[in-house]
Amino acid sequence: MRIDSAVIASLYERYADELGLFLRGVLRNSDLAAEALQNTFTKAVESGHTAREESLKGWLFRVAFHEAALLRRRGQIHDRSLRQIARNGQSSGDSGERPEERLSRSEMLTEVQRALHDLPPDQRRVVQMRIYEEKSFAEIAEELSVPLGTVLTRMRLALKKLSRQMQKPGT
Amino acid sequence: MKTNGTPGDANGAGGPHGSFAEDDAQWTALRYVLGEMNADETEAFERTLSTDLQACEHVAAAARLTADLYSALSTEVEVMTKAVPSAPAKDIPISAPVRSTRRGLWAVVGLVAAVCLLTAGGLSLLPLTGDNQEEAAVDHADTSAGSLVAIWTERSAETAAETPLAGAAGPDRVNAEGVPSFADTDAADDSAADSALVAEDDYDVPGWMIAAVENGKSWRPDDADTEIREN
Repeated sequence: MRIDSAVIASLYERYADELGLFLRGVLRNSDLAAEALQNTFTKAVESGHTAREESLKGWLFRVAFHEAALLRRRGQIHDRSLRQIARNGQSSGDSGERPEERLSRSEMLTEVQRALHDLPPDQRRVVQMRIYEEKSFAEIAEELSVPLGTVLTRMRLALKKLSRQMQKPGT
Repeated sequence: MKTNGTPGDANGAGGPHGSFAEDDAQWTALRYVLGEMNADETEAFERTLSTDLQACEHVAAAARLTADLYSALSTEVEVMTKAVPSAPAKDIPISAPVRSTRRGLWAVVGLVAAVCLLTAGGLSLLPLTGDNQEEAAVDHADTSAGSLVAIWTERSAETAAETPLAGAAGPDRVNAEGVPSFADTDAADDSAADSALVAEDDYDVPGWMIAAVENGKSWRPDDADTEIREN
């Protein structure tokens, strides 16, 4: 007995985005994350009926993590660049993204840029060096001639501000 | 009990306050996504991920934030790159040769000064109907020394008697010892000095004219002899 396809479609619509982000965070590879996501929902079709309805989300994430671990054990990860995590969000041309989704993402991007500009310069610099320039915290500390703890603190404070800023209504 | 999965993390100390624990969980997830955990921390955190939905949600949020920040920062870099002219290519000399440019620059300065003075002088000497000639003088202000001399000669001949000679050094140009003071020299003084080189029965050629002629002879834009030294 399999789960109803309409239920699967509903689950996909509700959780695919977050699941995809989770998988990219684990695998740091957009292609593998997409493969793991597909495997996850394949498993959902085959075995989703065994999960309790109130815990379907948790079940999906567990299956997703398991699929990611499988792919990683196969040694297929070569590129752990953050660009891989970001790439899926940028390539809207061939992803079938709807216009309203593109607009929403454009607005979100504007909000992120605004939040970045609101950061103190030293925090913003650390964020830029870590996220965009992909330097490790240790390298940043050495380049800025500050203790590693200072770099971590700045990044953590920046994260806090950014999260708060982007969770404001309208973002 | 849900843990943040970072036993060795000095920043991972939780607290009684929900917000502090939430911040800590977000920070832990971000460190995981950025790959800033060591092997033990990673293993412990991933054990948490297999059972803790909230930790999974934090990882998803951290991945989203990271992707959004990267997109925002890369967009800014693109904008700035387009706004700022790109640096010159490596095969193009960055700086122009200094010596030849300097010599040519002085020549150009002299020519421009000559043209400006000629125009100013011509405007004051000629009636208004001489506009065409002035325009011709300006439009054809080239390195041809002969044209400058001819134009000046023609015009100054009309009003030579009325026009005071430029720059006879006055008593205020001489210092206490009676030696001409070069500190205050200007074009007028230069012309006075230069006029001494000209025969008395000639028109008093102003110094700027002499400079223009000399510069016109010494430099041309397409002069093949112009030495170009590369850095």
